[in-house]
Amino acid sequence: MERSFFRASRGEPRRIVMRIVFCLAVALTSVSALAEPLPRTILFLDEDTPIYPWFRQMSEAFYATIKTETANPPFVFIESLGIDAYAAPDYFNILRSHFREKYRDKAIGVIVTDASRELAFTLRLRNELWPGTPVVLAGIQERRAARLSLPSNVTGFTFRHQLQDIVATADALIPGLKRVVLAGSRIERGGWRQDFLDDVPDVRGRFEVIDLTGLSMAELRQRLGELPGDSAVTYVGFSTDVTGERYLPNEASQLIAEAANRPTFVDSETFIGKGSVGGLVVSPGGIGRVAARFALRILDGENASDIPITNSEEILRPVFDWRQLQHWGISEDRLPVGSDVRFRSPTAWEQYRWQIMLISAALLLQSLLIAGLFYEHRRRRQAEVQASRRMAELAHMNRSAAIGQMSASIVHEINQPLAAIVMNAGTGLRWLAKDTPNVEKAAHALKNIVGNGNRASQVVQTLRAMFKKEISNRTLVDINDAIRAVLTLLRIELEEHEVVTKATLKEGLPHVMADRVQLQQVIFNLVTNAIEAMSSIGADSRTLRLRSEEIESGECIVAIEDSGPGIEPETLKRIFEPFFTSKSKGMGMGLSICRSIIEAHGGRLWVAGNTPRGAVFEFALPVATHSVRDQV
Amino acid sequence: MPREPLIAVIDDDESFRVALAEALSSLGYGARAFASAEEFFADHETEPYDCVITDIHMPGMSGFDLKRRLLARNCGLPVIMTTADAEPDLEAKAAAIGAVCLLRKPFEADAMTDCLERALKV
Repeated sequence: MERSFFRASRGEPRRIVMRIVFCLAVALTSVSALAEPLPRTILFLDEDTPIYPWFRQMSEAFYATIKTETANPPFVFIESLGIDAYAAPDYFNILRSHFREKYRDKAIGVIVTDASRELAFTLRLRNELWPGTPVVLAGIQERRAARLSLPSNVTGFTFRHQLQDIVATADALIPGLKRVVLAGSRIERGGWRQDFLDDVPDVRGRFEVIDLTGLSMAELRQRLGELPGDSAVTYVGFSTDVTGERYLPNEASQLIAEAANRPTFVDSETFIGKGSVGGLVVSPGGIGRVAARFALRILDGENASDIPITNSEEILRPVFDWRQLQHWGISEDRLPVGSDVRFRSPTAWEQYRWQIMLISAALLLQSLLIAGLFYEHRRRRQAEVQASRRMAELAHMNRSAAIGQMSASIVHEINQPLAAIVMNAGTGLRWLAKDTPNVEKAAHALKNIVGNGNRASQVVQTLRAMFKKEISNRTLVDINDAIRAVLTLLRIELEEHEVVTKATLKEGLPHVMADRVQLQQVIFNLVTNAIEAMSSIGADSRTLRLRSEEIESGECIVAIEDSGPGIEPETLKRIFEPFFTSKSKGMGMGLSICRSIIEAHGGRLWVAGNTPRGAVFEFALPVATHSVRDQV
Repeated sequence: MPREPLIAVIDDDESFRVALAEALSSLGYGARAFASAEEFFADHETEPYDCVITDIHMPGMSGFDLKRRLLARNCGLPVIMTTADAEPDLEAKAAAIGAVCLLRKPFEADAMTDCLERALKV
């Protein structure tokens, strides 16, 4: 759109020649052109070179409209005049002879031109080559159009183009705007934005204007990086800077917008997406569309002279760059109604809605599953702990109850004959001590004593025999299994007492012939004693060591070692005696019964070590012989 | 001379029952032995006992049951209890029901006579 790529100066002599040719051409063709219907062809003349996005956007919209808005689309020729680019002195003549040859056999129905600054050049070309052919002027700035006096058969449409529109947009979007920065090359008379010069005083009346036009690009960029917080940049076009460096307007707009530390506002749709926020911009696409409709009206029979030049609302549109709005933190609520917001990056939700929903659902399901599993696991663990604790309690109770019951019955059974003995002895003594001793009655009492004494010894013998009676329950038992069963039973108790258990169980230990329940009772008892023995020492040094092995004598040995304070020497002497106890609670039957059980199995139970750190109880049981195994 | 006090001895253990009855006899008491509380009650109405020495734990009626039945009949016959059990709180139980003494087996005759004297004084 920036039309001042090269400033051409065309010579006067050329024009005189052209006028003569023009007059001849008019004389030859104008009469016939009025009489016949127009050929359905359009010649689109672009002043510039096709390098500018402006032309591309305009011609695309033009084509699209031609194609869609008529049943019989005319043929469109497009020519880029490149008036700025080819600044040769006789350029007009070159172009004219070129087109004359090129269009010798082509009848043109209507000429469309985006003529804005070089209108005279374009109209001369038309007058000399296609005299009388109607012309549509596609998009002229209002104020420029007002200054033109157009020949007949030329129509067109205008758009508003003023600096105030850019500033007003900036003012609407930026709260507290105080300063307006003009950024670009110097605005010159004859240029596309020449009328902005007339607008500056008005803007100055409402804002402080920082004029940064006419600097080198480097300096401009540097100054743009140091702008105050209450300012906004208005880009007024940049072609050639003071050092002679040339820029395409597009790339210049990007360089400027990127350097600025404040938002940049622009006046052309072609700058959208190049770093500026946007603005109320002139749309080349809009121009293309309106121009196509004008051309079609004329081809369909309307006289160009009858169509007045009017302002087209379709050309000036509020267009913004979403990314820049985000960058500068400008809320979309501030944008004018009907704004076209471009480059909106779809939110992750918009882009991957289904994936997100699926993944969320999967995650939710998974979380629920995990939560469920956790809950189940916790419940199971609690149940396990409870069950284990109950088992241990039960085992304890059984043991205590069994021992208690046995002790009670032993006490009763021994006490009865003892009581009789004591009573009889007293009676005997009394009969003998009488004034007339009754020897007969005394002897009777003594006989009773003998009977009761025998009865007491009978009780003891029965007690011994009790453990031997269990022989029918004996099976081949893996001692390691028995140890593990007891440890499982006491796991919670061991944990609660913070006892570290270290079991060194010999693999492949030969089986023993034993009553499994009694054997486990012995181990249970010894381990429980070990736990109790360690309750008086620090929790960090409570270690229970269990060891099983086979020795050469054909016995299996089990050692249970604690890290408690050890056994008092006085206690050690009597530890296996029935009813001997060093504990406040207990009958003192535990170890005695343990020894009885082990001895009933043909084994031995002893204290193997009693260092200051802990006691070691060991028992040995004979390995089952082959003959025994065969019997089982 | 007043008649000698008559003591009922009740114990399911025969050897002790016999030993106790003979000891009482040697001490100058009249004694009659019963193998159970039920047997004693069968005889109780016809004989004027002065005191009962009964074992606590017996098959059938216990020493406590015996004392309770006596109380139920409004009979103030003093009761001395004996036991071979090691159960710790029997003294309190016996005292609560109104027994004069609880004698734990084995005991010597002196302990028994002390109890008897207290029982017969009442």
